[in-house]
Amino acid sequence: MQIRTAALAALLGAVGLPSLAQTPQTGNVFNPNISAIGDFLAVAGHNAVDPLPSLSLHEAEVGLQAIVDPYARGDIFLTFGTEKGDVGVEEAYITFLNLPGDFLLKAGKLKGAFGKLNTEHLHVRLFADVPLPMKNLLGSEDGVDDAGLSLSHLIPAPAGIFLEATAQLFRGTSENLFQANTRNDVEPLFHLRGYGDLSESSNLEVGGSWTRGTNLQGPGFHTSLTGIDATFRWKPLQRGLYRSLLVRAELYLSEQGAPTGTVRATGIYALAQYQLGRRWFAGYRHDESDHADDASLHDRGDSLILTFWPSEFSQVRTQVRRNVYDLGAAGKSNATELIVQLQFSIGAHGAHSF
Amino acid sequence: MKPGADNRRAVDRIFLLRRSLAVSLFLSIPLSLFLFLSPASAARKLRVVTTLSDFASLAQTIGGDRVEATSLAKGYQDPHFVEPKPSFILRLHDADVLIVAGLELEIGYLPPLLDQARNDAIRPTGTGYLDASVGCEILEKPTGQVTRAMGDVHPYGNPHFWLDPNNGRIIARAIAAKLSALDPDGRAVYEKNLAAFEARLTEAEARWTKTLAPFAGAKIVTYHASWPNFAKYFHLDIVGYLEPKPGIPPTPQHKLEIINLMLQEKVPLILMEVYFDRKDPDFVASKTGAKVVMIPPSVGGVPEAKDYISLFDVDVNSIARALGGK
Repeated sequence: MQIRTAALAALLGAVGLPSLAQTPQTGNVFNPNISAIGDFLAVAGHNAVDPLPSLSLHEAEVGLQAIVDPYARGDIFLTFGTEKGDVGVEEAYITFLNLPGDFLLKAGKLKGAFGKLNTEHLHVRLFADVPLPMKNLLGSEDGVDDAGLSLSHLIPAPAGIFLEATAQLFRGTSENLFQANTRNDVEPLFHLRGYGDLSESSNLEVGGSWTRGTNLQGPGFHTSLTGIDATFRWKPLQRGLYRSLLVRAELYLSEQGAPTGTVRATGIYALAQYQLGRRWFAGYRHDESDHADDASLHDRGDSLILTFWPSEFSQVRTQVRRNVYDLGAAGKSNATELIVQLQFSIGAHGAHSF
Repeated sequence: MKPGADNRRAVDRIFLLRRSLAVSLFLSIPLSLFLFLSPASAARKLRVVTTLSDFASLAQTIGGDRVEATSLAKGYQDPHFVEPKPSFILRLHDADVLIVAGLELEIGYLPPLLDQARNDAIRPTGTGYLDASVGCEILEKPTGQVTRAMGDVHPYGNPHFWLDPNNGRIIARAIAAKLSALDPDGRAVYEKNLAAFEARLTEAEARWTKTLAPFAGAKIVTYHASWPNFAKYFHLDIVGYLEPKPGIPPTPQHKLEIINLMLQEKVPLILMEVYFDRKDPDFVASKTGAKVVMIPPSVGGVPEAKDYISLFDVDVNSIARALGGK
């Protein structure tokens, strides 16, 4: 096989065609930026429905990011968990930056542009756990995360308004949410994002998302997801090191096809985070969510969050969470837990979008 | 050749002629509209976007009426922590020139903005990109191993290089060259404006040097390491920082060390940037008898610092007043 590859490379070289096998290397100059982020969780308290381990390496994310060539950049994020074999590709995509007509094309495995939470890596979220609507209606902490294509376009809008439309097409398989059985079970996703500065210190961002895929009930059964999100941010520029406020709400509507009919379930979370000082942030989050397969079951939860940043590269977070799980005829199950999260970042991790 | 081929060719020619006529007609409408509107288009100003207000001030001074220069960061904002707002994407999308400080000062927000701006001209390999640090004197380039244990250290050197008038002159020349390359018709204007700016700067330098000459060698403490170029130029001696390491806020232990150092070295002045909290400098000053001077490191940091030259006027005069006891 090696001989065959070498022969093929020699052949391609002989006819002047480029091949990966003959890509020249110049020391470490062209190596990608390498970063790693560790996310360690310690959990105490009681949860009979959805218990987290007492101590866990929730995730170690390794990022490899670089310019590919004059036309594109590449980003690869690998994740590792506590268990043996707990390895995955969170995202790995190429972005074509120079397309005509203000288009931006991504191809590979990527997080779906469904609202805000679904697009965020775990380490940029403002809490240590997964909000109930994401878990109940988007399947898992990763939500829509699949192989596919993404095309986004800047839409002309009145001065100062940022308007971006994104159309994505996925294979149609995301953990606990969609399962493609054939090549035709692809999942389209559409997202519209609007942003405007209210003043130099405050701004408002709103978004709408829709997607539809074949669900876990089997071939012919689909789930449509609709999302609306709104984020208000305040950060006085001169005092921006010490004070800021973020208020966000995200609403999901899930319409899940099942043998017994369509289940319409809704979920919402609302979050506020206020910056107390240069390194201290306090937050509150409220969750409400039906179950995707039984809208008569309705979970709810509240969290108080305190975050401390020793430096830009590490973070300690404490979250007190009280969830009330609806077990139907069996009643309600209350869970009060303390989650402590330690995160640390090493290497050259690329900055994140707003 | 088959019979009738000539006829077919003639028909093809007519068809092609008709099609080209249709295409010309189709194109002529927007073209005539464009020509009708072209006086406005021709007079369009070169759009310069800069990360720092200092570069915008220099670009506006050099570019005059031919240029519209704006900055992403405000002068009263910490230039390390600018948020990558989507409204910046729009400005970068429409920009002809982008001027950055480089040295990884903008690494926390500029790369994702550039990736989404859909404007190849202002990417680092584009014709409209200008790294202002090129050719400037850059201080505090780390030697030996660089680790995050040193705080938020910049591996390519201290990025606050614009606070040296000599570097300001180098940046102004680079801006004039960039504008001339992109807008050759304006070369004479840019060169004239550059010469006028350099003359004003030389005159101002004599004024500033004279003002601070009596305090040459004065020991000072600064909040963040924003002032090495400024201190070198004006012969001030920075003996310590309120931040224990770059980007790390003052700790009680470090404040104690700085108080002892200031008492021992008889440091009369704490220099701080306008975006930091006064609490810690005021506390240290209260224990040492030193003065706290809060000054802008960038244009627009206070209303009086309207442009690059008045920024130095404000900073130099504030320091002279504090050290002179007036």
